[in-house]
Amino acid sequence: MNAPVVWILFPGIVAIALFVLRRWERSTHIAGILIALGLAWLAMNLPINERISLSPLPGPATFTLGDTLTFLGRRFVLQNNSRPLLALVYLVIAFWFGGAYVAKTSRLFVPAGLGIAAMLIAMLAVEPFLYAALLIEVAVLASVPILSPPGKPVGQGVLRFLTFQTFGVPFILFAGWMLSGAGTTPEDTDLILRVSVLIILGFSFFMAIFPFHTWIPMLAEEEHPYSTAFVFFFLPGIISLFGLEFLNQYNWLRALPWLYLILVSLGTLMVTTGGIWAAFQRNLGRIFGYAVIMEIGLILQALSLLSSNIPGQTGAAPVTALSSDPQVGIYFGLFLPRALVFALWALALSVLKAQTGDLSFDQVEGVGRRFPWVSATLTLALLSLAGFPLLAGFPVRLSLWLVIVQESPPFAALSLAGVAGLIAAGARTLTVLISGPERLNWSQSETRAQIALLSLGCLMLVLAGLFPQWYLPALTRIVQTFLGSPGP
Amino acid sequence: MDFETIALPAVILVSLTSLILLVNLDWRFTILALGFQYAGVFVLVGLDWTTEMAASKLVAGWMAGAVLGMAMVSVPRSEADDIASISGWPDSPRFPTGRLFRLFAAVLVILTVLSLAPTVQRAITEFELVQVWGAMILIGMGLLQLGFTANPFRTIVGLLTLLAGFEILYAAVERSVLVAGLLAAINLGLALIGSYLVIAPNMEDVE
Repeated sequence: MNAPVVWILFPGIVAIALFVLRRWERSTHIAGILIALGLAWLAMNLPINERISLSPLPGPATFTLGDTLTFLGRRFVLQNNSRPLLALVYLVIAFWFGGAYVAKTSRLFVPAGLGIAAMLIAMLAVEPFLYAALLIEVAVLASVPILSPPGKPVGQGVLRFLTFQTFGVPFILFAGWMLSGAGTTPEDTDLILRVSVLIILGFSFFMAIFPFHTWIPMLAEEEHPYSTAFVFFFLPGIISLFGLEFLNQYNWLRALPWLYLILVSLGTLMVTTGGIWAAFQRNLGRIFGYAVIMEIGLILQALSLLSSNIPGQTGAAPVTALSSDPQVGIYFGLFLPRALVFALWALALSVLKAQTGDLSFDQVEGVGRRFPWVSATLTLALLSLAGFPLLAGFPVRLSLWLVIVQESPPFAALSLAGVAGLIAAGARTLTVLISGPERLNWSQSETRAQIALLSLGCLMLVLAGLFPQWYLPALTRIVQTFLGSPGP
Repeated sequence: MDFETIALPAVILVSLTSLILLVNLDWRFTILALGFQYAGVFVLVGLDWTTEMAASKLVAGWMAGAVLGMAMVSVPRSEADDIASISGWPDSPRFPTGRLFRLFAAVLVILTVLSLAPTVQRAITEFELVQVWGAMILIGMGLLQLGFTANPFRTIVGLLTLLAGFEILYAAVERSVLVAGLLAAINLGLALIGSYLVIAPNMEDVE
């Protein structure tokens, strides 16, 4: 028995079993939540490569959970220091599954979601890690059925998503091949340029970085909000971890003098345009899509900080290891608020879409008077993503922009313009939801389960904003432990 | 097996098949052309890989074609023709402007590839010129197909064509069994997703 079997193979097999049993929707959801929670509990309590006693008293009944699974000549390795990250990923999966039943997602959501989680963990475990691009593509393929469920015409957003994600694979694989010949400190500037271009293009396709982001608003408008939010959360989030692994393994990449400028420019471009375009949308789904683009921009800005403090020139070794870089905490601090906001926003949109069938302003005008909890949640989630004080998004955004304003004030000013755009989009959303025919009285049409989840989520948004010290240090430790793992 | 002697005919074969994929709207011919295309890919990959390993491309490609074909058979005949059309607007039978335009674009792609291929081969010496020709023609035609189409069947065919081109080049530099297996799985996965997207609109959510 080894760790990849427990956290990759087992959930993969369970995903297939749940796919077969998807007719029993409620049972499938409950099983999915319990299995994800169980895997998170195991990650917290089951040490890897250490002797584990099966009985409370010391005795011969012991076993050791190995860290390596060899498959077709390559290794999948999950070491002890990956356990906190595994626990976090499966806890977040359980959290998303928890809202899926109330959001009335497709029956394929839980099986496909578990399969995607297994693939993404495999992506972090495979050695050499460059093969992860292929596993990302498998996760993308698994996410298509939840984006385009049976009985619905196929939207253009799904096709573009599939196309752009597939485009990313060749670039990363070729970059990997070139890197394998480049060594730890390549001298050839031509090679560095080629590899860098391939990596930037590969990640641009995978993470929907400008100009390859167009599928995000399309998907957000056409498909089920909760399913799309799940994909928007997991794919760019985990793929950015893959990018972090690139920076961790190839230190000379971090020392490239123009890396900071490229990352912060692209990030700021996405934050600014995402926020401003959100203000001009007339569809709540598209507003969410542009907010997602803004969030991806924030990830890039956070990643850019990992290179900004390195004084070395091309080829020089960085001063600090990535695991001890304090800016890693900013990058990973975005993770939990993003999960909370995306899930809450998508749940509120799902409730609205189930009622109106479409999220265009014409359809949702005045609906907020019948769905006050949904309206309040949408507004809070939107403000949180904009970095409004006392909400979940605020503490990390404040830290991020404080650093950026010191490094490059124009980028910080442009980012604030994006934030202003998103707040304007929030004001428009609220106005549309509560305006409408004068005779429409205020009432409460949400179900009890919806009210419970939405109010709990809003409470968590506020608590996460008021007490960031509860989770930020732990998140920073998780990513530092993960990055501190010895390389292959 | 000596693939050197049949490498150039293989390039001609993949050029013709990718042209048929782009121009012909009948899904049956599309599947047939896809099958022949993978035979060409098998030969070009076989220049670097053992015959057994290269055969995995052929088998995976044919299986992908079979999966897509079965999906097309399962939808009503009239719908299948609509699904297979490039843009959703069928060509006029008397004056096929769309086909002529695609043919013209394909010729431009082939000319571009012929002029660029030697430069690519000089930059990455692991590639043989015939492999660069075959791969870049497939990548170009795949991109063209993806640019023209807005329907699931054609999108998947375009992606399979593009990936086939990439696999020819990647085979020259990477001989890992895991990568071969995963790429075969991605080809099959794309075909499965394609067949799902073809039949999903007519499926019931409750099965």
